[in-house]
Amino acid sequence: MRSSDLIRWLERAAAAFEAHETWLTELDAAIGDADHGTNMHRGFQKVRTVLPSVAESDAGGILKGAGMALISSVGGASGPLYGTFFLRAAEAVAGKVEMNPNDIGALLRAGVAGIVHRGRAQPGDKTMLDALLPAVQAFDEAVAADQALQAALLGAVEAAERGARDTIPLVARKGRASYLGERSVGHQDPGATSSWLLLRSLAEAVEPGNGCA
Amino acid sequence: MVGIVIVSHCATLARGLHALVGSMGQGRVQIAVAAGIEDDDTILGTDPVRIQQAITSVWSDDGVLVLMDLGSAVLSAEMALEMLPAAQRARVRLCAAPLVEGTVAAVAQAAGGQSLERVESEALAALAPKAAQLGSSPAAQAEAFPPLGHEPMETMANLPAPVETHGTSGEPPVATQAPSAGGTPNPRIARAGIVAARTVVRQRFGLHARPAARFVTAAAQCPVEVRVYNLTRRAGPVSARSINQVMTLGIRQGDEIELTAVNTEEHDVEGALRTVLAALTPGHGAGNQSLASRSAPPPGRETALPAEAMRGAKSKAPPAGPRALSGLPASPGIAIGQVRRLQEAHADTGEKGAESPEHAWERLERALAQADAELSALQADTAVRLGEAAEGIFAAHVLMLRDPVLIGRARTLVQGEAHGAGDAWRQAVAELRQGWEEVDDRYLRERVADLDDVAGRVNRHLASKGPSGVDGETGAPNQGESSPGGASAPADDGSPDDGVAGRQAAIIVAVDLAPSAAARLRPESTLGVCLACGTPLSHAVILARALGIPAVVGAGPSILEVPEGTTIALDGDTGHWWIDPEPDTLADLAERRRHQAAIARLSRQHAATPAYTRDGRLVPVRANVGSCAPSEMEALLGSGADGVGLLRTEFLFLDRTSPPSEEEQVAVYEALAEALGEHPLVIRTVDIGGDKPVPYLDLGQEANPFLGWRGIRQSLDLPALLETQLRAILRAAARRSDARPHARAGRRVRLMFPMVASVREVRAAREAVAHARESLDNEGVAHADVEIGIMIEVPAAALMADQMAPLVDFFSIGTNDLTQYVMAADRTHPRLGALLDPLDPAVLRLIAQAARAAQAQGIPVAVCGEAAADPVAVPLLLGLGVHELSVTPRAVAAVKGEVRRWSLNDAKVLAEMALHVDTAPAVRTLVAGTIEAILGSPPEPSSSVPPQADEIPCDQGSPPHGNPPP
Repeated sequence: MRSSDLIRWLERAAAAFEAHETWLTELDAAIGDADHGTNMHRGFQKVRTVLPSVAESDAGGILKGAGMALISSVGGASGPLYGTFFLRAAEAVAGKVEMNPNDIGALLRAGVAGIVHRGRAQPGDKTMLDALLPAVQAFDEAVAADQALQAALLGAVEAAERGARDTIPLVARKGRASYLGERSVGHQDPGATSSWLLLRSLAEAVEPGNGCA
Repeated sequence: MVGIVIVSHCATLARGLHALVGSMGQGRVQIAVAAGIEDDDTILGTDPVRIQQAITSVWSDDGVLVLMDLGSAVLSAEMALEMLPAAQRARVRLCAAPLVEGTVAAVAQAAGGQSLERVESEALAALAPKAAQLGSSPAAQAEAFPPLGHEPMETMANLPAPVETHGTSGEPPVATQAPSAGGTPNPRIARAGIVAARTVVRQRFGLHARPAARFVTAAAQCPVEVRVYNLTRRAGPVSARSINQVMTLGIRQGDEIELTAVNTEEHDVEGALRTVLAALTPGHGAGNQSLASRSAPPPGRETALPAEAMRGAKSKAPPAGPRALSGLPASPGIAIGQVRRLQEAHADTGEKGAESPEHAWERLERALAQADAELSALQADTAVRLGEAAEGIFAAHVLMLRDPVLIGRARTLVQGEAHGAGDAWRQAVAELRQGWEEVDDRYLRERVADLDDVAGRVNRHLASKGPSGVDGETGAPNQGESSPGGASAPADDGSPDDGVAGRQAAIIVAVDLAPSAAARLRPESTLGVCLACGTPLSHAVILARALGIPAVVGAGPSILEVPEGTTIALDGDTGHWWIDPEPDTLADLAERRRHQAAIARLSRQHAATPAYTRDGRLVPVRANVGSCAPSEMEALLGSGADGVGLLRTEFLFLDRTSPPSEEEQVAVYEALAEALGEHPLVIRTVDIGGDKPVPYLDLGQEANPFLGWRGIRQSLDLPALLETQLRAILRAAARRSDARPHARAGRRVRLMFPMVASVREVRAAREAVAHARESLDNEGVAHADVEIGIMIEVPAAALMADQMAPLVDFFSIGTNDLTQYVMAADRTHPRLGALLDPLDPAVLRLIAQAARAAQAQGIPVAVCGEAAADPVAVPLLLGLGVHELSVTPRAVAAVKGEVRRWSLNDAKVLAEMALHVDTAPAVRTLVAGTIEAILGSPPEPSSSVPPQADEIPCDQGSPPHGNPPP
């Protein structure tokens, strides 16, 4: 995977959040403040505008640009969370132009560790981590089993999707939804959903046209 | 002057707040707003970059306080903090105060030129006035009210006002004089060197936020401490420098207040009071004349502040005063003392030029053997002094030291690659260590400290020059270490001068603490332990806890920058610590420490008195005993235990070539029962696993002794051995009842079988007892019936408890083994510590199941594992339905104290919640967070006093519900 694939990832993510803005906002309306779709869409439009300026950078530079754009434009809690994800991911692949599956693993792990650090959520708290943690684990296991990058990412996307769905019966313990307590049960977490979309965009970027939704 | 940053999702909200506080800051406080995103007021959100810029814009060396609303505001502010240069970051505080109240308080303090710490603590306390006003007293408000008053608040209402107490009788009261005197009321000198002044508050809405802020600002600039008292409402006195406290006085228009200050020669105290009073004048700044020109309004007739609210708000201790730094609570208690740093030292492992492989290997083997012998001695000493859990630490060290892979690698390096002994050992350890460190596993990383400890021990013997220092700094494998010279006194000879055993009592500060260094800690010379790294599960922490030494771990690198000799304070219950704590904090901590000490003292004093829960349930607290060695007997008899809840009889069977005779056993059991007086003695039949060499048992080498032929399984297979022990127990029971004819036969001696997994075993065991009884009958030997119980330590037994209960007279839950078997995690395995928490909900659920089965059958349940000695576990176990606890003798007093803190109902609520959380850490968090909510304020020492001993029977081991079988 080359750093230019990261540009494609971010473009695809921007497209995905544009396409699913309403859906995410509806999910958020059920248990949050009905702005997640809007926020993610706005944030990734901002990312899109900075992409030309970082297109020639190494992998670290591209991800850092995305992270900075997100933290200043998302607004909600997902701003600092996804912003931290990309900034930490950027550190993991700083200076690289060509990345092997282990590098991608390091990128994802560092990013997710950033979200853990920032949000201090636990698995099962009904947050984006419920999609991201199983995804990273699936990815690492696939790479350890010598699977190709594409296959490993697809496995990760599958795990993220399952993780996002599995947030439905959970009681939210972080963020605005946590004020609802038991009433948050029965709704899919919008953050976990956007995390899944983000990873799906990454898988698509590796092999364009090979959708995996 | 401290700068203030307001962070909000909503730009309109933040601007409104800015306007609200702007005038309070009198134009001197730098206030910046970071709210909303992208310059569009309609978009709600926060932007870390803007927050960072806002902080920079109001930056000064005095620091910046950031107040924020919720959600992303907090995350964004944290991110902004990380984006600042480290030098600035240290003087920026993110404040957890409620946004509006906190900002008001912070600006008032900042305007008074207060320190960042003071500004922050006032902001944090800012909700208290509102809570007091509304008559609620949430626990969170507590810290607003450090007890400044001379009198407890609840008695204040009955006292005459201070001035009237001290005043000269002939003079008219100042307050009536002041308004008509045509100026600011005249302060005057009351008795006892106190200057006092009174006035009637004229502000239309009383002393609300802004006038109060002016007043407090003036008081803060005063050279002397000014106290204020609301005479009309009989509230106070409080410090006039604290806006939160002043606002609790509920000063309204027409209320008469009094200011007091201690008179000194150095300052113009009267002038100072006049200045503060002037600040109360409407139109302040234009002079005092306006005061005279107004007529006094009628005094307010509203009722005083609800005393309940005030009391509630005052009663709790503040968790963290100014400059509280955060670590992790590791060992409870408060320590205040000077820093003593552990010294770094390295061992010279004695390489002197080239060494022949034969010589090197011989040297290394000798050092390994010496280290081994030393660790075994340390293990034995620890077992006696600190109990089973602590002993296990060094048992694990022995296993590390004997690791064949490690030794094999060292040998290869010596013999195959001609390394010197020290060199080979270091490299072998380093390779193993690196492997452990590469694994992303917190618990394994924690065990690196143990490996270093063991390695250092060998290094020291290689050095052969005697002891060198404990390396508390780097954890490097080549550190020197010391240890006991002999088996009985590990701390005495041969210990390094590393600061662990300093002459002056102090707080030990280090990066981390090696377990063998921790084992040398002595409560008399170590007030507390504060570690930059480390975790609450590390072995050093377990040892500190066993020794009763308060500890905070994970304090961060800043603790290492504190110079030796500096006074620090730490609170092992909350994890907070303070550098050079302010007098207020110090006084408060000292008060709490005194309180804790009083409770501990009372616990000790009342260790021998039965422990009742608050709602009157007697909970017998017995001791676990593993030998009849004099030291152990001394510990037992001095512990105040209500008898022995677990006598491990293995000591009678080990280290000998033939099994103990019936007579020998009778003698031991009788002697012990005699020593216990009226208290019961629970004797467990022998439980020897394949890890112990017992020549006459032919145990063979077992791959997995914990799952092997042992306990009741083995006993049933060796009927002769079992019968001998059963006969001895039945006979001892008879002698006992002979000696005390009034005691019911066998009531005091009880019999218990270990490792029960199946109902068939219980039936067979009962048959064996019947058979032993029969044979004694036939021989005409005196004996008595005993209660028969089983250990619940195999999960199968817990799961089948309902079927087991009808067959036995009591259950005793062995939490150590139960945890190990439920979690399928070897207790001695260095990597599995995380799985071995007996508070894991999985373990708690099995305990609950066994307790329910026991209750249905009306038989008592005891817990005799280490969990019973864990203060966190005590309420959980009681709440789950456990009736008796049995712990290591030195924990008896503390456990009884813990029992006395709880009511059974509260414990049940807590236990019910614990059964429904997901992990052991979550259980611990839950208990920690709930204790205060459930118990309210910490117990008053007086409430710990149990009923008089002569009013209650010595032992009521049976549960109140159900009838225990005879």
